[in-house]
Amino acid sequence: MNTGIIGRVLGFILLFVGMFMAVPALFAFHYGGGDLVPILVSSALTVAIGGSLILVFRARGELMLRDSFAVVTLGWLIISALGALPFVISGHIPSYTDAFFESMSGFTTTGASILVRVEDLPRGLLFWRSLTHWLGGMGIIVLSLAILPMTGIGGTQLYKAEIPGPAPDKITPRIRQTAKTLWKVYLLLTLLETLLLLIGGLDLHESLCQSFGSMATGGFSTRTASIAGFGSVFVEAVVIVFMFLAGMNFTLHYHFLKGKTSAFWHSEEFRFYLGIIAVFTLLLTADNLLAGTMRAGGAVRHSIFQAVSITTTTGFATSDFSIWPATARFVLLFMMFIGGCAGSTGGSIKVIRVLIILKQGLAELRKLLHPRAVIPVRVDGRTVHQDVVVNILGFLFLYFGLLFLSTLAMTLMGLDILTAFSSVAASIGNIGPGLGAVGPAANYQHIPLAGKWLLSFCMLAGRLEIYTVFVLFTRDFWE
Amino acid sequence: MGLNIVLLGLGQVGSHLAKILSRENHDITAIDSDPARAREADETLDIKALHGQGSDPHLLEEAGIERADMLIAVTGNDEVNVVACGMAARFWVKQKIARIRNPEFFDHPPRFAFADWGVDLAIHPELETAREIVLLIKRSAATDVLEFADNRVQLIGIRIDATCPLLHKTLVEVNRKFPEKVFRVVAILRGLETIIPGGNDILLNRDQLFIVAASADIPAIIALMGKSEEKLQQIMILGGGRVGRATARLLDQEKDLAIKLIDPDADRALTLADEMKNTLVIHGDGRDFNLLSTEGILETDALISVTEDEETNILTSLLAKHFGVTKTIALVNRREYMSLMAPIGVNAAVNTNLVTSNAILRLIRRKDVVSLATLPGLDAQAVEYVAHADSRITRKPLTKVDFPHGVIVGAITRGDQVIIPVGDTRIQADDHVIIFSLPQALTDVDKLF
Repeated sequence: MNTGIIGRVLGFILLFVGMFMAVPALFAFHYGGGDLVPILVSSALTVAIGGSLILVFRARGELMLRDSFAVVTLGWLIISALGALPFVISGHIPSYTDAFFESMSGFTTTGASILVRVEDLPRGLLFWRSLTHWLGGMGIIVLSLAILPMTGIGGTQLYKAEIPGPAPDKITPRIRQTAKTLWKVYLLLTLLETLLLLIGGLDLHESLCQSFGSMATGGFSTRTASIAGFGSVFVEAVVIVFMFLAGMNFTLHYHFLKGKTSAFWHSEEFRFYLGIIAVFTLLLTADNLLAGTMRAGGAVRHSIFQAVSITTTTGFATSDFSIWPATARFVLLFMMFIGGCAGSTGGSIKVIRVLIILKQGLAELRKLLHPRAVIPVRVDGRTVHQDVVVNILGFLFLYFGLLFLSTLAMTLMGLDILTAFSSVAASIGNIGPGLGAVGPAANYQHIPLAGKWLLSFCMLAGRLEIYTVFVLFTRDFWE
Repeated sequence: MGLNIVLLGLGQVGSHLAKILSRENHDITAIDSDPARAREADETLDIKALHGQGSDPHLLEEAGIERADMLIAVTGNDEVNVVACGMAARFWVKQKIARIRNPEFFDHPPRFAFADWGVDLAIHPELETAREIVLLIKRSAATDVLEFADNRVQLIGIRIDATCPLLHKTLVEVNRKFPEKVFRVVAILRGLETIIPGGNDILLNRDQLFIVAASADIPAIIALMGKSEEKLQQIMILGGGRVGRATARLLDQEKDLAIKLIDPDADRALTLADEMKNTLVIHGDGRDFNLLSTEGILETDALISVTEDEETNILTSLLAKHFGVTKTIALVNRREYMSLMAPIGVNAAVNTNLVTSNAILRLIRRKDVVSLATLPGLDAQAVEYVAHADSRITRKPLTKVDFPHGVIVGAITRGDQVIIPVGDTRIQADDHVIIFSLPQALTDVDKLF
């Protein structure tokens, strides 16, 4: 491994995150919640560490494949570790474990919180909490690639390590250009949502924070009651629309903005995504109505919101779904394993993987009847290479392996099955709230210490789509 | 701003070009018919790679041919390359380059000019390689010969041995010793290391020197190095494939040479025999020791191994060296093998892929660059620039110019004059300047012109 270049690239990433860390100081200054100094100190510390890494490691050259895995995993770990500083230094989250959990949950766009009352946090810290979502949403490495002058270090490898899934076609031949375009689309949509929320009566701080939460499919809100705290149908509608957009492949947004309006409909993944959300919305609505706990309007409104919020892995809530009827709760749990589209900010298994494996399963059935038939799996009219299918099967095995082992560990710590299983599922899937004792009305404060570290690891593994993190635990990697 | 380039074929040449050009900030969209190769390139190189046929019009459109500045067609199929250029012409792509390998296309009648099908530059790597082989035969002591400035300046490679009278001398001493023969040592290949030398570097046994001088002075300089230029007359060519055939056709015109061409394919041997006037075509396997000795390998001056199998080429060259053949030349297309050739004793190696990529890179680099060459096995490039009145390099004498590390000025041509520059030489407008540079310094050199 090339320690010199790894150190240098990590230095650039820290420098970059450190500078973003200073932005919340504006709100801290404006609202005067006593968090100005902690924020500035943390920012300065991160910039200093990044800067000294750049000064110490002057090596130049190209990152090799294995260096890229190290850079991405270490990069995410270190920014989460440093991102926890403002919470600890200010004393608002005194336990470092809790602060790290909150920070990791932020960067990985999980949105699981250990805060009992969100409103107790000063405005500057709240902004930082939501900003971690926004930075992590499109990918911190992708953002660095787009903006930093890191030429000739093999950006393609880094990009693949951060977004390892079945990748959509590159928008442009050059990875830097692609990264820039994706971030521009992301920025544009975020600004649009902020503007709409301002119109809806939220102040600038809260508009930005909710926009970060939804565009990154994160889920941190500025209210303990999440989006329900605003009590506005307009705000809910805006958030639904932008969560939905954030769960789509951003390449489609780009083509749409370029005038190819048919791009959406041509994408099989998009049609499948829309179909899943529609079916689950119907199921949720029906079950809520049959249970007789909600009126018709409320059932539709909450069901749509929750279907979109969970499928896109955002985790915002307008209703405490942990007390919904059993079928509805199971539907939500099921949805946690689908996630957003490839090339979206959403997490979990991803629609494209589900779609390909579903088709492969159906093809196997036909092969039973026609043993010699050649039945290619096609998506958007193009054959999916067998290697990709096998890669997805391996991914699924590791995903569920991690899920079951972690659930086992959580039950050993004394949690009930539902809480243990849903907290792990919500962490790997980067969703946030689960069911049982970690439902939307509750929080992760009561999880044992070891459990918080385990869930933080699950969030990281889920965000980097398992392989990139797990490869570091193989013997081959270190030889 | 980088160019928008559509690249067809990701074989040895295509992938090498993709790697170099994407680093030089050009936007590359590549098409290859092998899905695994396309996918690997897409994932590891900073390019977009699609899978399919290069002559598929839908795929060309998907690759953004309508926005492309250049099409580079280097698939294994000549017809695909030409047709793709023709299609690109319909989209007003400015430059269309095709690699053409079949010799039937080399000397076509004017009414079949490639330009009519939209090909702006047709590269015949086999023909170029054959020309290079002929140069190497004429310069028997050289391991490499490159021509610059209309062949008034040559860059040659020489491998010195214990008989060299200049061993353990610094380059300053060497030049002082022979004030009337001006030349410049622009690079030394020592083992696998490329050195761009300064005046205090010394010459060691087994060094391979790269020397720039006026072409007329080259024989004298070879003599200074303790080498003699023998006239190679008995020449044996192994393999009558594309390169062998093209080489034989060129050498066939020289009346004073005795050439034998050996090919294992009976039909091909017959066709070749039809084509040649002076050359004796022999049907047989070039690896057959009995055949080689019957045909007089012991009396042979030069062996040119250009079969389709490069391992065979390398081994037969080594065998010939063992039998006392003065000069062995092997066709080696695998880049990784090139630097091994000199150390193991093959006199010269030629590479058709390098010829192709050099020709294409020359076209893409700016107009000030007249020619550009990468030498086999050497991690450096030779570039011929034209200086302009506003070029930075013309403002000061050479000692005052801020050269990047790893760059050396080999020669200057001014009108008919060839100048080997010294410190107070000042480059003038319209001079052709031959510069030798390590690849990483090349962009800085560009800024001087």
